[in-house]
Amino acid sequence: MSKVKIQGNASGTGVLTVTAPNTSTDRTITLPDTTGTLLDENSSVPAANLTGTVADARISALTASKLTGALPAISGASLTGLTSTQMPSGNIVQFASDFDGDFINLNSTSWVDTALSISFTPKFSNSIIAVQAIVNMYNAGASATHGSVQLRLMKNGALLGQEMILYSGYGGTEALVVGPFPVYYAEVQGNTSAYTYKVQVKNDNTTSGASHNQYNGLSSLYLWEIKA
Amino acid sequence: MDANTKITKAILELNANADFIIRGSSPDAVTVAGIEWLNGFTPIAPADIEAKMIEVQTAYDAQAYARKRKTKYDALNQFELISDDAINGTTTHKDAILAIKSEFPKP
Repeated sequence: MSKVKIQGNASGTGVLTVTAPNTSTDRTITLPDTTGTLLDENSSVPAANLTGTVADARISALTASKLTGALPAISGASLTGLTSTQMPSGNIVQFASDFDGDFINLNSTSWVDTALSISFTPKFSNSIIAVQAIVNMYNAGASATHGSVQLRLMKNGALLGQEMILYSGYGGTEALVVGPFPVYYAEVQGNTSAYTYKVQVKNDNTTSGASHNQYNGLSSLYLWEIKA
Repeated sequence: MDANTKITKAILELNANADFIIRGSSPDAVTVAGIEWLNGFTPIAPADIEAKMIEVQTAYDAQAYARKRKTKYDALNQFELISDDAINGTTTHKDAILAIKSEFPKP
């Protein structure tokens, strides 16, 4: 059988005492079958000797210098506290679009809604809201007068920007103005409330025929929220 | 004649001051159901519009020969034919016109 040998140190003068704990249970302590030194609470443990999982409570702080190399993928859904200050100026925060191929005969001089409509809620109150509509219009000239049609952007029922007017020439139905026409506007909304954007059209003079989406091709409405 | 043109003509023949728009998926797919009367204009009954649309179509069809003749007339260089006839004593202009009238006779 192997043996246990307790050996003093010839250079020291202290007395090493092995004490029993206050227990009524028999215990057996098995010494390691290697050459080395037993550890106590003041000993250093080589990191290479650690196995298993380090409990969160054992990690007091994770410094930036440790976050190098191949980091794990982090879901964007886990990010919180994102504000406008985390985005560079000019970045697009969000985008929306709507398309409309419905025809409207404009035999009235009143403004009428097209089917283009977007409800838009900015993320940040100081963002720039850019609005663009590209609207298919048709206007035939009258025999003795210019024809004219108008288009405009609306925000919650109020005019946004300015009305745009398109003229056709004299000369009856061959004096056409027809095609996609753009109208733009941009502003800082100043809040993060939802607003509904629409496009309206009108015929200024019903002696000349006018319509919206007379021919194939979709009219469109776009909104961008741009970081200030 | 597309449906939009036909409905519009019918309405304006019934009341030249009618204030309306017509909505639909295309000029040829609109119906009287797509008419919106504006600014308090008293709506014209759909049946009256549809009856007038038949008259409009009949009148349009009755002019088919005239539209076909006009297309042919427009293709002629009539001033040159008239001048040539005056110089040469020929009847090319008259002959061309008569040929078109014969090709598309008035009903």
